[in-house]
Amino acid sequence: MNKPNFREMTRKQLRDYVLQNRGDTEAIHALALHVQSNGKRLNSVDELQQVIQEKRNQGLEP
Amino acid sequence: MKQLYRVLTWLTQMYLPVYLVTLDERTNNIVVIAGEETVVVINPEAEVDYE
Repeated sequence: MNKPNFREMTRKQLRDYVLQNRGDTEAIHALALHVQSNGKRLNSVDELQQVIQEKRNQGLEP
Repeated sequence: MKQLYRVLTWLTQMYLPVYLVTLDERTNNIVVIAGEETVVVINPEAEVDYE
């Protein structure tokens, strides 16, 4: 089976792929890069609680 | 390691199930997959990214 093009996958697609293919180091690397490029850098770990709460306040499931 | 401990503590305290904790072997970043949408990356400098 050909591997998907990780660069063209959304974060959700990559996340689902990694959960299904936990030994695929290339996919794990691609997911980490995606989060570092598109995510939010936290000033401290304690901010995690805040961003999750904000997401819930927006009616989204974190 | 302390950051990972704190990330996992917060996630579970916020009732998010943690599905996978793994290592990006190329960069030594720790990747945590939790909840419905959450992915957290901790780099070797202990900086934390959330998406």
